[in-house]
Amino acid sequence: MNDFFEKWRGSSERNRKLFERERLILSVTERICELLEDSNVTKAELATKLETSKAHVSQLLNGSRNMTLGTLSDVLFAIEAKVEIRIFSRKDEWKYSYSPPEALVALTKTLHQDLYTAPANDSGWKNIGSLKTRVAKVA
Amino acid sequence: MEYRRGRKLTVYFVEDDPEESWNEAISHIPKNKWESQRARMDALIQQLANEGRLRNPDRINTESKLPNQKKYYAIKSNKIRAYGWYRDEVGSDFFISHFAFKNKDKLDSKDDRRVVRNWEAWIGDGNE
Repeated sequence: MNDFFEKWRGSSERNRKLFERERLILSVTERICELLEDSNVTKAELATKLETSKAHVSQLLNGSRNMTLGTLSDVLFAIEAKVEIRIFSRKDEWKYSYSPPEALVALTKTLHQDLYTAPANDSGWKNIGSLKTRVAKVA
Repeated sequence: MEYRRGRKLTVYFVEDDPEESWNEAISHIPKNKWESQRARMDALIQQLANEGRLRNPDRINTESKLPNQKKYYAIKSNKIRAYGWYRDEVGSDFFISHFAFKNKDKLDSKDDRRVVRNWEAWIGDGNE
């Protein structure tokens, strides 16, 4: 059974617009919080790097203060991250809502690391034969 | 029971008419903010369902303990709270007890009693 928020959201274009705005703010700021947590950087340390106050950082991260794209870039740069934008038509949303199985995600990460660290030959090419075998096994 | 299914977990609304406590909670804030508040809570619930947890402590905090000594939480959107608990550990299905308006951070004893009452009813349905 759909919940009453979903029913409200589906009842008008305006409601969907409001939801999408909040969804974007949450996705971005929660991802930044995750990166801060993973890299053990506190809000105070981030504030120092950005030459601003901790209160300002808190407001940016809880969504009470709007973040410009320039500020977003500065925040990400400060924590050694960067952003890639993917904008698509709402009618194509189904194509992007698929979550790959965790095993596939884990394999992709490992392959990426292995490819990065694999030694190259004299011509600069990397031998990816063993990687191909491993992909075939999972597939 | 109404629910929201996400990529990581499902959020359930424990009370028969969850909108009732929501309407009571937002009646305490200016009418021109009702829609944006609703959109924000809607997005918070979706984020929790998709990611399995909320990261920013400004958006969720440990509120108190259930009779089984497990924690329960408050999802925060300005002055509105959604009280609830995870089925097991953080990241498992989440159960929203009810919504409430909070003018201060301290937990109100009537909200604590309502969470415990809803949790006991949930347990009574064979959920633990």
